[in-house]
Amino acid sequence: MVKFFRAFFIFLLLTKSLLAQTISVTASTDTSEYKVGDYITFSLEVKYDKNIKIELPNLKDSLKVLEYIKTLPVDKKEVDGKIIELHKFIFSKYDSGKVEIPSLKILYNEKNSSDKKIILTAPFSILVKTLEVNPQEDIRDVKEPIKIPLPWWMIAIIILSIAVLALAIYFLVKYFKKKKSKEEIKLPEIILPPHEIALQKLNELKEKKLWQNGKVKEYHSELTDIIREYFENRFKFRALEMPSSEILPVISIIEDAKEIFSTAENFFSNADLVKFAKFEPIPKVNEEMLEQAFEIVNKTIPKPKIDNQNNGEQNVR
Amino acid sequence: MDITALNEKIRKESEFIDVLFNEISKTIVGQKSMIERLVVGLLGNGHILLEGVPGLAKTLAIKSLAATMKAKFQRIQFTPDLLPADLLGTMIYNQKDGNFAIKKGPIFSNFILADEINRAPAKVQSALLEAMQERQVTIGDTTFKLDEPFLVLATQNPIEQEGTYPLPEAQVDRFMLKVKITYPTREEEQKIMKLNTTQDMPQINAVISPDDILKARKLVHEIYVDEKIEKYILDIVFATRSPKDFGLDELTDLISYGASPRATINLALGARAIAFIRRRGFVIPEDVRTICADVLRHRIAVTYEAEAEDITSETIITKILNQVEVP
Repeated sequence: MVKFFRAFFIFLLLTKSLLAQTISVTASTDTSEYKVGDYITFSLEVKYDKNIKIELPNLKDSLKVLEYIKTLPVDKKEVDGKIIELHKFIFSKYDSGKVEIPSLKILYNEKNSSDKKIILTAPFSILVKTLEVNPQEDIRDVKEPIKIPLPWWMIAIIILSIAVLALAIYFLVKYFKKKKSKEEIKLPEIILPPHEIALQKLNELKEKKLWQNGKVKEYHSELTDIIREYFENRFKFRALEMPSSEILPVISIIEDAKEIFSTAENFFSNADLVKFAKFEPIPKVNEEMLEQAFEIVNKTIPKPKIDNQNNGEQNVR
Repeated sequence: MDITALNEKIRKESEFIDVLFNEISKTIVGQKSMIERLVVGLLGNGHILLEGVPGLAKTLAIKSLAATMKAKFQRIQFTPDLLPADLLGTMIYNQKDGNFAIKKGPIFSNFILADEINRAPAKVQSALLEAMQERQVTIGDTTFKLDEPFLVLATQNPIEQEGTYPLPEAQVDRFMLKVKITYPTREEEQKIMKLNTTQDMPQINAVISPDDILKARKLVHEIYVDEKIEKYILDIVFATRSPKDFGLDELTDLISYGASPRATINLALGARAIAFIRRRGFVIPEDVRTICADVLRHRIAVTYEAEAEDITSETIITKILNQVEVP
């Protein structure tokens, strides 16, 4: 009887060892809370007997709730006659919220058996939080700029450049000061009134004695040019680009020039005859033409305006 | 010749101009500028292109001008189906004697009004313009000289574009002047109304003969043009070709091509004719300026840019005249 119980006890022990769990799996992440975009290290640990062959699922397809990044090298070791395989994967998640990691199906079979069995990991969840943005805060760098210290040769170049630039400025300033001192100080240009210019030119023409030297046509051309230029500057119309016939109607309507209209008419018609019709006037006409030109200018010199202000005092402008 | 004597001669010989103008003014009210240009064409032996809306007395003006000198006048209405033979004449077979006889066309007249010249196709235009240039017409094997004076006054309808054949630039250049006719003033129009509704149209009398015109043409060539005036004419023409040289930089992009040497010739000739009409033996700058727009208007081609900005050749001519210094 004792023999029977001993044999039964041994039988039970053997049966138990045969029926005991020969494989275990654990799925986990390095932490349960992440920020959006953080790397999630997913670990899958499989502990199994030597006589067992396992088939891991393809995690890229099985864990579609996460974005696959990469697979880390497998850590495989043997402890107490059992093989421990640690598979690590890097995932990420770009949405915030609670993420359910489903059960993963691992197939295994004993080496001398073709029957495939399944073992499942326990499902679990992780929390992916969004970044907390404080709208009150100013925009700032994600990372501070790296400060690279200047090498000694760079400092030397900068110092040398500054020294060369300072020297160049010093010599340039010295050069221009020297040049400026040599230049004459220009006096501001004095703008003469039209009548003074005209009278000056008429006197110069008189001095040239053109008609006396047979240059009658040149004399009359210059004479009319002086008067036309005078009209242009004095009465502000394009007399130099107008023929006599167009100048006279303009003169006739200018208040300050009405007095000289008949003189101007005579002056221009005589000049046109000499200039365009080979007319050779007698010396007296040449002299009279100059006199008429002087008369045209002198009679149209702007008169000073008189204002009666402050107790009848006369202010001349 | 002495300029005083020449001046006196011109004064005497040009007396008929006033008579001519007075006679024409019996039927034509206003349009003094157009009539003056017609006489310029007559004296300068050139032809005139008239542009203006219908009803501005174009036909009446040339008809009256022809009547003043007992010259033959013909009006030819240009149409798309007109043939050169309709204009110049043709050879007609005579069944009686079995020979071909020459039938002269309407071009054999002293004054021709080619109405709406741009309505006829290019071959008819060419036939007319060739006759205008050569002053002779060949029918069959025989060449006929055209009677003198021979003046063609062609009109262009500026309004319609459809069914017209615009004259090419090279052919337009053959016209001495292109005259633009404007509407009469209110007072002139009132006179026109009275003249045409209350009495019979006055009769134009022949006051001059074609020989007077031929004689006057010779005199026009004698009119003295000073070197200063010649330079002024050249300055104006050259300003149309290279405006930059005359301080008219803004015109450079507006002119596609400037006036031809024919413009220089006609400007000088036109200025002489104006001097003759104004009974002077010499040309003054005003004469050049008077005829300048009519001589250059059709000889300056404006660019697309100018057209887009509504700048015409007249605007360009005005700018040139305001810039080029008068001698």
